[in-house]
Amino acid sequence: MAEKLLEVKNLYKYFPVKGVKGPGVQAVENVSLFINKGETLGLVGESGCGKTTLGRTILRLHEPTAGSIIYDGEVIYNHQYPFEEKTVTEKDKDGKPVEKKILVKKSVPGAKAVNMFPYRRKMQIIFQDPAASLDPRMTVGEIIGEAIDIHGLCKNRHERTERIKELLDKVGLNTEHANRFPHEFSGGQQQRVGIARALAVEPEFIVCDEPISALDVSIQSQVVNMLEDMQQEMGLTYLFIAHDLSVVRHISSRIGVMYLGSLVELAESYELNKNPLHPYTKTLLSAVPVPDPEVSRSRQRIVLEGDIPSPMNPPTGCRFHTRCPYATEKCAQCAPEFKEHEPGHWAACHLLDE
Amino acid sequence: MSEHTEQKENLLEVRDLHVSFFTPAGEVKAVSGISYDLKYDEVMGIVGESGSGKSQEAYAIMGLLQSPGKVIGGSITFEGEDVLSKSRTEMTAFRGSRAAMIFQNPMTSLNPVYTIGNQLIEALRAHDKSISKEEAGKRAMEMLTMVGINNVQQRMKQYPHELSGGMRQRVMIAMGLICHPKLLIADEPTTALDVTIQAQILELMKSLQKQTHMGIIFITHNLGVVAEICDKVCVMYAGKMVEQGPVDDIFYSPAHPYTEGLLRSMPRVDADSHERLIPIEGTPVDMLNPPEGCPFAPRCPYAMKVCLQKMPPYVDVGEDHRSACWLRVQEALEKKEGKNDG
Repeated sequence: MAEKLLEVKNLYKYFPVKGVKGPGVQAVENVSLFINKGETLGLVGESGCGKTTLGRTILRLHEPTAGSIIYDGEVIYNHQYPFEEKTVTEKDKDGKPVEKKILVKKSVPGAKAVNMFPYRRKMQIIFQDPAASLDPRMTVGEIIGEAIDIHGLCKNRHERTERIKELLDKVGLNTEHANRFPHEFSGGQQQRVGIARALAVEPEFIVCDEPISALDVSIQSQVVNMLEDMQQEMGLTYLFIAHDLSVVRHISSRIGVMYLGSLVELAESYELNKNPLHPYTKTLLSAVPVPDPEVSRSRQRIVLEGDIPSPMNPPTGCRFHTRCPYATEKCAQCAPEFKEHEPGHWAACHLLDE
Repeated sequence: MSEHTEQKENLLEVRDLHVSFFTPAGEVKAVSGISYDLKYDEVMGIVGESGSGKSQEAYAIMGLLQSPGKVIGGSITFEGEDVLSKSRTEMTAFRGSRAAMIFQNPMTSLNPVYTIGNQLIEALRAHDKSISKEEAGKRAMEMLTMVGINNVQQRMKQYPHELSGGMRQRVMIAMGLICHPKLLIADEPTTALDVTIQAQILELMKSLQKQTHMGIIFITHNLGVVAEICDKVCVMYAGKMVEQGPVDDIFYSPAHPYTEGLLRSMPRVDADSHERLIPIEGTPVDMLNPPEGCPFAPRCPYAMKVCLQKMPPYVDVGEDHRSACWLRVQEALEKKEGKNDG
């Protein structure tokens, strides 16, 4: 069996909001997953579903609210869930008392959190907007060199210059590009610089946060191929976050689908496409436009009603029940458990339990 | 399509359109030599990468080119009238009532300090002063219902920021259609939206098109969306039209290496096996210093010597299917010679 590189158990990330009682924005809600060594786990979902927050929380760029993160067998974060559910009676518009469940903070023992510095070398990230993630006042050589310096990876100047050249070469840029500034590059080239920067510290695990969404169509496939080559060559493990299902389907060995902070389904990429279990995954698959006129004429499309609810005030029970065409009363009351329905195929839906 | 509309002439005829931007760094030929016809009741897609001139081409039709952009050649004929020779006031009357446009980002095209209702009524009364406010309000509400917005009474009183992205785009569509235009130009209307919302908007546009029989120009970089909604497609690269044809021909027998490359480089969600993507090598054209000859030649796997020297002419490769590529020119010549010999 494949070896787990990273495991996340019951991860929560809430962003407190000033002047609002309760937990605030519930961006990531009870997510559990693992990533094997050398594989690519894809993460899809609509904007605001918390996929980027999840990626960043795993790297502890955002401090988690609760849950545990285990990297290569070592616990790098562990904290108990600091909220409890309470039922309060409130008066509605007409003055009638209504029962309402709210989350109230409770005291829990402090979190176990290790110093991340040694892990920063092993876990890296590639950002969505290449222009915004590169310092405009630094040359490309300085940007890549900074990471090398922080971790003291090169003994002398000569070695450092050689290493920068090697990295630029690896991502398909010229070695003279080291003296240029980010604005002198096109979007695709900037993203290559971002990738070189992440690779500078020889990481094992990279979170690719929508690395190709900002690029032109004809450039996207160049970057996707490059990421695949790097993985082969260096044995990298990816968490690949994107909203474009066709790209995720292409690059990932397994795919997780998120909706409003929760993971609703996770399966092998082929399996997920052929046999989606969760109603949301089915909708998402049918909504992706296929570049084939005959297929798009003949296929049946499930069109969802309405919009994504606010994560500040998510629906009770299953978070998808407000838009789900098959929702029952049970769905509104309690959240379904995320469990393995078929070997390697997890989903969270009450309908599957019956 | 009824026979009645088929007999009619074209809704829009664009002939050899040239748009240039005169920047301090030099002339940028954003659009050079585009020609096409759009029939009543037809949906045409314009596909291209960012900077390929697809939006500027549409702005030229609407008379919305921003300085230093200028139409420097060609003609645009709308229902037999020359659009380019219209005066400013004539253009104002033309925009909105006969041709409307919706944009990529609905938040920036709606006025944040007016309510949805106010803006819809204003759009209507700007073109028809005789209509009373009450009547206009009623029409606005009908329109909002038509684009699938419920709770119309309340929505009319809301401001753009109170609506979600998908809802705002619906309002934009309602505003575009409120004067019953014959032509709707949609400039990447779904690019800023999520896939499930994009699906909603595409379904809506398809059904509205069936109801109103307007011509639609759909500008996008997403070939999947094109396959979904368009009858014919125009592929642009670096300001030039490289291929044009019915949607099936473009997807199943592309006649230009750029179209072919685009189709091949896209991963598909319904793919059965994992195949390596075949990217288009190189980088997009620097529009300030475009290459001589065919703009795609530096990235083209089949490029010949002539490609780097001269822009190929348009060659018919099928019914209503044209392509600008020296490979096709060669084929056409060979065919002709074969015929002469026989």
